[in-house]
Amino acid sequence: MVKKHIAGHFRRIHHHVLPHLHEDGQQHHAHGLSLVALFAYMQIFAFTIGGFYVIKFTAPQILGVVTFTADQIIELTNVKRTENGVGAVSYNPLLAQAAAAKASNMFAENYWAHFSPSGKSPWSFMNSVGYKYVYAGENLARDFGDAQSVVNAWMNSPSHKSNLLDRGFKEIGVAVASGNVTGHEGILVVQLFATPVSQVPVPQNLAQASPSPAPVVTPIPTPIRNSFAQASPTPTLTPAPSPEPSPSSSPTPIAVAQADIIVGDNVGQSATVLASNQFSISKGITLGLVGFIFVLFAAEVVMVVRREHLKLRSGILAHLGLLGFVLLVIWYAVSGAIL
Amino acid sequence: MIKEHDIFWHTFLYLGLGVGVIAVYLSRFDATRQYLILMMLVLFYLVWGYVYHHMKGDTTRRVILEYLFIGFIALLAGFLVLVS
Repeated sequence: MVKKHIAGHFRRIHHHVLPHLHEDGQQHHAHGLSLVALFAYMQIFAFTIGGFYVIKFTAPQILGVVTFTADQIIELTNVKRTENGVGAVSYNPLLAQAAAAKASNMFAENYWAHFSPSGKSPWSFMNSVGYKYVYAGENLARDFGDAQSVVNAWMNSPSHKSNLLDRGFKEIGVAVASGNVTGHEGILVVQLFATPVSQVPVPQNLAQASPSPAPVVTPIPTPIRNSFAQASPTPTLTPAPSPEPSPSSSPTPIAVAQADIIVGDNVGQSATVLASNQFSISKGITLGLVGFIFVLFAAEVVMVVRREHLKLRSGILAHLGLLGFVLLVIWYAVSGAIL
Repeated sequence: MIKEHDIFWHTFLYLGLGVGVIAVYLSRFDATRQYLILMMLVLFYLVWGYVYHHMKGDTTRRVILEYLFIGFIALLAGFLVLVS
């Protein structure tokens, strides 16, 4: 009696996950792949999406939070530079202020780009805080859940990586801000690199050739390619009569927004922005559910191939292909964007 | 079990999906574009399914609903991770 009960139980489970023949000789696919089941999976996704929106607007802390600081970005950047045999960059508060001004301006003018809609370049923010540079570069990131993911994403992009590992850069300033840009709530990271005028080495022969007046460095605007990859890591010295670098001579008015912005302070981890765990939760749910459906279809194919009395259902390979594609997309999805 | 024209049609489908994989890879770090690619791939899958089953002569309401449900599941899964 018990044996029969257990056997019946196993048969029911078997029918839920594998194709089978009914008493009338007709082949039936797994109950887990019936239209009702597929409709139920759709409902699960729809309710999950709806639930996330409700939670985000009512109680976002339920999704969990991770701290996100500018100091972490600086630290991780220097770790990558050291690993690659490039000297660490030192924190500069003026560059950090410039990065914060850029982030504010992105909120104020609502854009996700290196140049503002009103035409402000990243360098104009350095000029506005009085930072005098020879070379500069900018990396941007948004919507990542933690600092490590940001730096990893930059390292996976050749143009951003060339900025990050540029030997010519000596100083760094980073701002991390939370807010809404282009209709998307999330974390914004502005990373500015530069070589200040004061740290440009004066070549011996040039110094001897023209001892008076002293050679003055002319700032060279960074050529803009893709993500502000630095064109040349070698500073060029040009004797010039102008006593002041030209970029700092004409600061332009910059719109700033009130936003929750923090900058690297190099003294502690007190300032933090909280990022949500929503992406990793969504990714887990999606991989689990789509993976389950994929496995059911794959099991059906394997079962049919192994048992000659079963027939391969028309269209099942197409379903497997699409679901496999979705799994790949989700598996390799990253939470944020870089520019 | 699998006829020659099935192989042709499925090769065509998988080639399309392969192009999609490359496109998604090239659009990494741009989730919106990745989602647009996913939408196009789902549309391709639905059109492929309709043409394939129409030619086989087994276009039933059940088959159509199955394609639609799986297409929607793909879109909702992508939306959950890439957009929301």
